[in-house]
Amino acid sequence: MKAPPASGSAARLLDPRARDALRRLEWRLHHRRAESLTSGGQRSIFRGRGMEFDQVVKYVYGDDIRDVDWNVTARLGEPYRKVFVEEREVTVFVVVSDEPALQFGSGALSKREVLLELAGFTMLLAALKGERVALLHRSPAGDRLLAPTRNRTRITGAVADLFSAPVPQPAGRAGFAATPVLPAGVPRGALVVWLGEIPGDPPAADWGASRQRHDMIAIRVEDEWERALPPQGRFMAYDPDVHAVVWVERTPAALAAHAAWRERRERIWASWWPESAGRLVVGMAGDPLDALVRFLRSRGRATRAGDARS
Amino acid sequence: MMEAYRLGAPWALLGLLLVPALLLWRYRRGGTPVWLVPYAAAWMPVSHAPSTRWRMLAVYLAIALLVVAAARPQRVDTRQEVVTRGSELVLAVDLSTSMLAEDYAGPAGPINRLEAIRPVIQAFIQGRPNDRIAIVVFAGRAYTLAPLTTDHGWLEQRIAALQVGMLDDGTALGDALGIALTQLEGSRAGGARPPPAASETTPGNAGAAFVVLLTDGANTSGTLTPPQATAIARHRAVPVYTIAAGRNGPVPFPVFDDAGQRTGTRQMPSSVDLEALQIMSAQTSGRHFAADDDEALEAAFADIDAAQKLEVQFRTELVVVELFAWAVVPALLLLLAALPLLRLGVAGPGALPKIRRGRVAGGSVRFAEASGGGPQLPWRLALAALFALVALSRPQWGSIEQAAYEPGGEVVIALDLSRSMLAADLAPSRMDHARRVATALVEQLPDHRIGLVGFAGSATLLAPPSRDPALLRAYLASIAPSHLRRQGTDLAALLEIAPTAFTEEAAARTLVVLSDGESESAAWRDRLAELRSGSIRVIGVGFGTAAGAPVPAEDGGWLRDSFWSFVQSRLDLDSLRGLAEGTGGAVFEAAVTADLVDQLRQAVLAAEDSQSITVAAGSRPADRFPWFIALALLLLAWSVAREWPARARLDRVPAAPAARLLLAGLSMVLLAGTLDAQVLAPPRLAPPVSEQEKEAFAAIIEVVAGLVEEPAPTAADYLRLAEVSAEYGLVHRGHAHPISEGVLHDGLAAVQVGRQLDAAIGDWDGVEARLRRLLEPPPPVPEDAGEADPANEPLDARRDAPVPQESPAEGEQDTEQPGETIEQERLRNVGGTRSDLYDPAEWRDPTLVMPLHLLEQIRGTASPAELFRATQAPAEPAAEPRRQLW
Repeated sequence: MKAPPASGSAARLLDPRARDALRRLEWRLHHRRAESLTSGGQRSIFRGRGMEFDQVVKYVYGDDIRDVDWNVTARLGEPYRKVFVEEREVTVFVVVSDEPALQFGSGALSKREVLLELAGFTMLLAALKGERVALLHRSPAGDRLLAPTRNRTRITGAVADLFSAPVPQPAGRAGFAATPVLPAGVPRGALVVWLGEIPGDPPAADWGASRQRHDMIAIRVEDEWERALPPQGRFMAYDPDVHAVVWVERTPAALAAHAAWRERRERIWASWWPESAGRLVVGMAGDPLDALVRFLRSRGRATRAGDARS
Repeated sequence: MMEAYRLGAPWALLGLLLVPALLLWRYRRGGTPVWLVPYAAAWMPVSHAPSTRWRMLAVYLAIALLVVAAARPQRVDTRQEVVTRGSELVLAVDLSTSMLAEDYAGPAGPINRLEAIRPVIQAFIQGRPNDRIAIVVFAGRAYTLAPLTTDHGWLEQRIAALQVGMLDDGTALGDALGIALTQLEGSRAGGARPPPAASETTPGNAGAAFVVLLTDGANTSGTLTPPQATAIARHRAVPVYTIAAGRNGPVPFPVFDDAGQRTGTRQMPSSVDLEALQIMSAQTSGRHFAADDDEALEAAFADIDAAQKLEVQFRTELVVVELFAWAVVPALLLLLAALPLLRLGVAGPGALPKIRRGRVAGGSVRFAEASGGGPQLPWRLALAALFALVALSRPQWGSIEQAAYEPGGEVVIALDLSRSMLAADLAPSRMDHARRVATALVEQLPDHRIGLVGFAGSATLLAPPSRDPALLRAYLASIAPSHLRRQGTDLAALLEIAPTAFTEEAAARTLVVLSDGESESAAWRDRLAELRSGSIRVIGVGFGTAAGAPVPAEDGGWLRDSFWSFVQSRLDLDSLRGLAEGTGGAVFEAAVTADLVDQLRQAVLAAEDSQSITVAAGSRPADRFPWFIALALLLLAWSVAREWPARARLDRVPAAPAARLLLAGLSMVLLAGTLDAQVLAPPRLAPPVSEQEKEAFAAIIEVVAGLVEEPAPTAADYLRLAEVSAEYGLVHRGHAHPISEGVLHDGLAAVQVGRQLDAAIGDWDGVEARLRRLLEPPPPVPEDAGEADPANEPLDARRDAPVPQESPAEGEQDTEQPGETIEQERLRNVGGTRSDLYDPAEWRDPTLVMPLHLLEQIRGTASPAELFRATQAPAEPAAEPRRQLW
């Protein structure tokens, strides 16, 4: 689809819809949530639990009192605090798994739109915090990678590209395995934000080890129809997941099948992401960005609390 | 009634190819709309998609039905109406003063005999719509009120106008029967009769003609006596049904004072000559009825009605009934039944904008770039249904020429009856010339309703426009200037009558004025506007010459003016020309125009063409429903290709079924071809074959089979073959069916061979003569209103008969006018001579010579024209200032 060339920072954008979405995101970032997320000396919400202990430095006024290493302080007689490596260098690695199953929405927005918005928001937020940001956009058409960068313009461009990426054909998903298993090359210790659908099967045995290498957050979007059978019925539906045409009708058998399907999916979801703090399910009702911000904040507190305990 | 079915546009059946074409299309490219719903397959363990098979079958059936409807199925009703035409009857009604006797009980007190009889007769006439009926009225003399005619409406009018006292008093029973017999003589063409052999088997052929004689008295006057008339009737095998009206004995008569006011009743004796009536009916194998009250009267007529029914003629009539609605309505119903299938395509979560719409077709699924969008309404199907409904309402516009049409044009011939028409500058006289022209014109315009107006100093409608111009012919043959008392040439009087002479429903009106044009005044010019407003065209024909000729006077000399010099009557075309030009007609001069009748006919037709009303007469509105059905079909096919969901399958694109479908399509082409050939063949509209005919044919087959097996056929075998062949021919002709000539030729060949074998074995000559007669083309079967053409009628039969002397009254008139005798002869021949009734041989019967002679005497005096003159007298003012008018 052709589009008139945009101006300013969004000059590279092709799709006016993507441009609009980007502007909306930026506006929200700067005017509504930015203060609360970035104000003061609070640490980045992306800096959760330290990945690697670096050294102990002298405590100065203003440092988080929770980071004080009491052992060293007691031994040396003046306050010291712990310093972690990732504090200095965190890469927010956003993975968007653009599955055909995302092209659906029983409400005003499709799951894909919501998911891309979440991804873009995460990237822009990270850029605002001065983090290095990377993006892996996986789709049946192929993978696109934004190498980790702090360049705000490049990040914004990547978000715009993401928004204007062509919608993959629902039927052409041959060879596209949308598992959260990360490809090689993801920097060690990066914060991986994975956005996608629940995989069809439980993870393989080595998933736990690979997951340990990174700090991972999984975000998915759930439609009303996935929670309960649609009240509308009686139509032919194409299921891109299994490439089949079925007749959708609200029958008792269908209700039972739907419930069983949902339970199984939740189990698979939980088997991929066992920690509740590492997974987020965004509903179609309400504001997805709010949900994300709330999640990130609570996660930050939880990880810091966890650090404090350790 | 026989029915045949046919297709008006059989080539339209090629549209049946739509069905295989659509099947193929849908198999390859047809699809189902689907909605992109991830995981739906997991929710629906068993997919119970509605089956499309039966509903699509209904849709294809609907298409086929619409194709059939577009091919215009028609039912051709071959109505074989059995027309009870055999009854030609004459009603002879007594109008003597005794008919005033009030011995019948009416709804409001006693009514006289005529009043009682009138409705019964009218009902009788209405009950015999296929008969030709004549009416003879009699009192002191007998007159023909109406010659044999099928124009029954007019007959009833004449009966309604009957009055006692119209005629000189008396009861001329014999004359009445005689005149009635003369009416039957001049009635039927011989061709309508069954062949002679068949008539031999039905002795007397009695049902064909009969007389109903209605009287209330005994014979008191007249030329013929009842026994004499009865003898003629018996010889001619005409049954006479006699009805004696009223009671014998004293009956109440009305009493009138001098002013004609009814003052009361008086008992007077009434005597009906029952014996005479009984003898009349008994001798002619008729029946006698004594109708002394209402019920008996009606019963008498009902009996006659029942006794005289004879089925003679088949009339074949083609009625085409369009049957497309019988295909369109089921097609619509089938579509309605299949409609739920369509919901498969249009229903679903269409209102949700973020659910993508796609289409499963040809084994793959495709999604539109833009997601969402509301459900697409099946507008093609809706339009198709709409057009089908419009077609059901049978839209018609424009017009097509119709082969069988009813022009409905009316022509009124106005015949100048002034004395100057007797001038002999056109041989034999202007009058005769005009009469011949008029008679020939009537023959030339068989599709028209033709009436006759006579005019001189006044004008009278003699015969209203009718398709059965029997009365017109009767008048034309006998009317003479002496019949109109008031002399002169008053065109204004004619134009006053003329507009009323045409009937309301006349599509075109033409007044043909046959006159010598010496109009007394120019008052007719005031009436031109009236003619124009009635859209009456006038065609004038001027008779006479510019040189003129003297006018014969009544006393045998020549008319003289006040200076005692001969009146010289000259042709004056000015008034006729003025009339014609004022109404857009034409003028002809009889003396100089070649092919006058033909030109007249063309002028009449041209005048009708120029009248806007008649333009549509030859056409009927054209049916346009096939176009709408075709539109509906195309839209429906489009809808089937695009709107109707096919089976949603993602897993096959085989080729073999496609080939099979092509094969099916080809076979359907062939089928359509054969259907084509069948329906193109014209339906056989042969009349039903009777048992007799089947037997005759079976006999032939039997004999021929015998001949074939016989090694050496004998003369007897050949004779038998010839006889059965002749029998076959007779039977078939008797049923008015076409005869297979081969059979007759076989018979003739058998005669030749057989005669050589043994000439003495049988009547070879007789059989051969029968066969040869059957080989001649059958006489034309006349329509029910068909008069035989007098011009075609051989006069030999009449020429053979001794021509009796004219009656004295007639003689006076005729002496100066030699043409009159020819016209008298014409009168007798009007409608042709019924040779089987009028048999020259009957003159050889000594007992019949006297009655026949007397009958010839009264024959000429009983014409409608004479009746007109007889009844006209009182209406004319007696004291007219003496003027010379001609």
